[in-house]
Amino acid sequence: MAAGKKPTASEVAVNESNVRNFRSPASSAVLAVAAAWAALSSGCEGHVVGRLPDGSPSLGGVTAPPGEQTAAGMPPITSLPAASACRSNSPGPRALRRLTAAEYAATLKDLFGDANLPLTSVFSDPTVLGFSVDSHALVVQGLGAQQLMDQAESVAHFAVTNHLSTLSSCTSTDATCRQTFIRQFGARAQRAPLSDADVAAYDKLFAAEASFADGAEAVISAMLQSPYFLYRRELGTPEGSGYQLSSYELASALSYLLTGSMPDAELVAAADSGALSQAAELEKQAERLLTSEAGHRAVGSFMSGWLGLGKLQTVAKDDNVFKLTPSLRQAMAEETRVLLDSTIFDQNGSVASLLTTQSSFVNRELGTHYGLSNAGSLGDTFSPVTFAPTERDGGLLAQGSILTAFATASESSPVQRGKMVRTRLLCQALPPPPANLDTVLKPAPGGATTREHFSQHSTNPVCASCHRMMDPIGFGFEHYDAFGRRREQENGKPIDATGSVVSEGGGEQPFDGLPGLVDYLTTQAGDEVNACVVRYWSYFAFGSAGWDEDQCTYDAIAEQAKQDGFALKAVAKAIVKTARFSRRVADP
Amino acid sequence: MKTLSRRSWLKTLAAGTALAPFLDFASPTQAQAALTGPAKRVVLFCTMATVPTIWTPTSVTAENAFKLADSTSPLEAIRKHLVMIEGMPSGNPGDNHGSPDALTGLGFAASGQPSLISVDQFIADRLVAAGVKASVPSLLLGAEATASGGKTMFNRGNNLPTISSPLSAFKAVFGNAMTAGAPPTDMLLKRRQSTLDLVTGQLQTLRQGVGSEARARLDLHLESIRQIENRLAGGGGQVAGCGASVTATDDTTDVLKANLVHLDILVSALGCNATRVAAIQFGSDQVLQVNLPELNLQGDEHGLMLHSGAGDNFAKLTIFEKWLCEQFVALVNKLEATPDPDGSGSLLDNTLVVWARDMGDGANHNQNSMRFVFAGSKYLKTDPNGRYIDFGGKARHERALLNICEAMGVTDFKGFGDSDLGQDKTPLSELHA
Repeated sequence: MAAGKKPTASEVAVNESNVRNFRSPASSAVLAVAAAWAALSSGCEGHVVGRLPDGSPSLGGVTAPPGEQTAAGMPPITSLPAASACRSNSPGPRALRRLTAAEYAATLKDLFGDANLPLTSVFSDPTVLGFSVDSHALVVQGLGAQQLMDQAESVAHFAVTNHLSTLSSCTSTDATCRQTFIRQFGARAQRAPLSDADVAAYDKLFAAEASFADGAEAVISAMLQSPYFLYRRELGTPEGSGYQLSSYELASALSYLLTGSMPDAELVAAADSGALSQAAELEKQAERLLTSEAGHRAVGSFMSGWLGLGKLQTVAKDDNVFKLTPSLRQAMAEETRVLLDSTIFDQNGSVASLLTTQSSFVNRELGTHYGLSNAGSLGDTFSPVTFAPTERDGGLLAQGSILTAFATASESSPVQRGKMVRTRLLCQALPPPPANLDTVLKPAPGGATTREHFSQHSTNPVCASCHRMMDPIGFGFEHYDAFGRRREQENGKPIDATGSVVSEGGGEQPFDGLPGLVDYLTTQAGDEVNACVVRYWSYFAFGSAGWDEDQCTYDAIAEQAKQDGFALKAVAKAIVKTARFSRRVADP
Repeated sequence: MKTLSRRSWLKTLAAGTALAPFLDFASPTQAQAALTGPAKRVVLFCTMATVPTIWTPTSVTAENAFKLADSTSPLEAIRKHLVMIEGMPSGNPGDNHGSPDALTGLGFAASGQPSLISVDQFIADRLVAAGVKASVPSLLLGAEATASGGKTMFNRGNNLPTISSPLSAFKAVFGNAMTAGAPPTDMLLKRRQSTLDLVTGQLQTLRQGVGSEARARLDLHLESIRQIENRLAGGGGQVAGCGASVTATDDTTDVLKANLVHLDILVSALGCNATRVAAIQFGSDQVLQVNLPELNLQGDEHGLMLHSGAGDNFAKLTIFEKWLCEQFVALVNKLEATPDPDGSGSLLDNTLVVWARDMGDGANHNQNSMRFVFAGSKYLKTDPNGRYIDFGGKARHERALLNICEAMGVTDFKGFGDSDLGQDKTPLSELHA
């Protein structure tokens, strides 16, 4: 049987109990499947229960080949692809990107200067690698264009009813007034001046209407359905062997990366004058936008996707173990938001700063949950605190948000925590569990610690081959339970938080607890961790997890950010300085 | 395993087959012939897997003599309509959840192949090809079904999202504030047509200047616009004044509440002939936030009820499954109470309702025994006491999907499911009246 073929019903018959009750004895291949099931059907989260007769399990999740991209019609990637080596300093291909759901909503509000603009949620895009920014997955399909038309008509009607005087300086239906409106509003809606042909096309639409208000409404509605509004263009114009992005394309790229919305008036002015094409002006604008209120939010949005903080909101918790109230969940989220913001913006901190800080921001509710001795003196607002090492570890990895998000409903999860460190901080791909794998951990014997429970993974060789990359890292978190509470004992036994980082080459670095893990991540693995944040931020910035010679871009960002101690702000600004940001080669 | 490389995919693109690959493969004879299935409409009710110990009927002495398990006990109210089946392995019985198996018959191995199409999309394409009028070829609804990295059960090469916002779904199906439920004026129709012409022109211009991957995305957009144009041209046959009984908001904070509104939209859409293929998805394969304080049930179904469920013998899952059963019963009752727009009995007389799940056993993560609940339409063989059949592993679950096709008059299965199913590629004869 060829690879990828599945046994037909006449070849294999399987019932609920896997192999205990084969109804139809068949080929030797089928018996081999049965034997594999039987041999492996006990003892671990992740035993192979149904290899195909040719021995090839079909893998769950598909990762694009190195250097290649996921395209419409191909499944979204499930892990970062290996980077494509830098050979010719290629900046990467031209791109066309539909606005994300968040960008679309923010842009509409900014376009009409109305934070309360009534909007309906139109897009339900997939989450890829923790973000909803993947340009290959952002499409308009099915009823999508209809939803966009409905929204455009509603918004246009609302805008003309409520904001016409700010949208147009004149309201006569003569060609001059019509076209002035079309050029002025159009340049903002499309984030670039309109061509004369575009003006003529919109004017035809306008002129068919009975009044200025009706004409403006028809034009606004059309502009909001236009691909020039809905898609970000990073196409450029031919220059030398590649393409140079226009100052308007640069303005959009800068604004969406650093504020999550359309360019503001000052940025547009810099594009109008051509100044934005100068590196110094681009840098100046980047600094301005990054430190704006929207800039703080945009950086927070990246951090949330990178660290998987959204999981805190959805992760199930068992009330019988501990009642995690919505208010406490929110407090955990807020602690991390404030810590990130303060470290990045007030202290110009790096990932290492985030990992090593002993300080955080807690309110009384969270302080009490953490068992801080001074919790009683805290109020409802989040105040700076410094953790005593005997009370609690500092740093990002000891935040209640992360500890709670990366845990099961009732117990800590060395697997999830180890995987988070491995994939999000070290950027090392873990193979997805083979599809034909039972990933359910068998119940622990009574009184076992979590560590003892998960030892099933190391004693069974099928599990161990992958889990050795995750669990021993996750064991370092064992001083914290599924709700982020510090513990010295579990089920009456002392906590063992020793762990190790097994390298891909087979080496092993032992450590003890979170301080030991953090020490490893900020010294020996410091370069890897910095390179990893560059990789994820590039994905967030460019909406693509890999392209031909993408390593050129990562190297350039790292080299630049290194000059400022890899401060996270410096990483964001370094992205803007890369060739990838302003120049492109032909798209495949 | 075989995945489609970017290169071969681009080749497919170049050959012009990837844009709407599913619209063209109906054979000429079938495309010309009107489809004459016993069912005119199909509704898929899609949820996460359950666990067999709480689902399988007990005291089974004959296919029409069994006791419903506790978790399915609310189905007693519509017992005469029910056909419950289980014991059918999928093609990839060990696939983890999120597998496209359930409604495609193909597992992860087929990801990205143009043939990876779920039964709802396959039928919708065949109906279009056969000239069956429907304003919306397929209506896929469900709040937050792609959030948190989750997948729906619907596929067309890639996983398809559902419309999350009830308000957006409502407007898309029944018209927005511009029309306020009434047919659009000639002036508005003309404006819309001119707008679509303009936007189409811009998309085509843009399309000329970009690479093949971006072109493929713009082609999806163009196809989406063509569907609007079809509706504007009156190609839908949609009854005017639809959806009057539905109150929809944009709020999806409470996923279950939003989905109840989606169910109202779905029934209204069927009732006014806006669509013939409709589906509701409860959460994704990864997450469903349950908020039912009246049942003392709050939290994620996947993490809390399935994977932490064994401890309390799936007590929470049982409570939630009963709630789902009540919604299934309400759906069936509503279809029964709604006249068919074609004037022939009730919607239920002409609608096949199918409760489908992404896996067989949600706690043990396998698809050794897929299970379905069927109700409605003249296609089904029913019994006053209901019917329950355990296929005991002898039939691949894809065959139940072929029943759905057959019910809708689609009997040429080329292009759907596993091409290696051979002589087993037939609907299950036990289901057909």
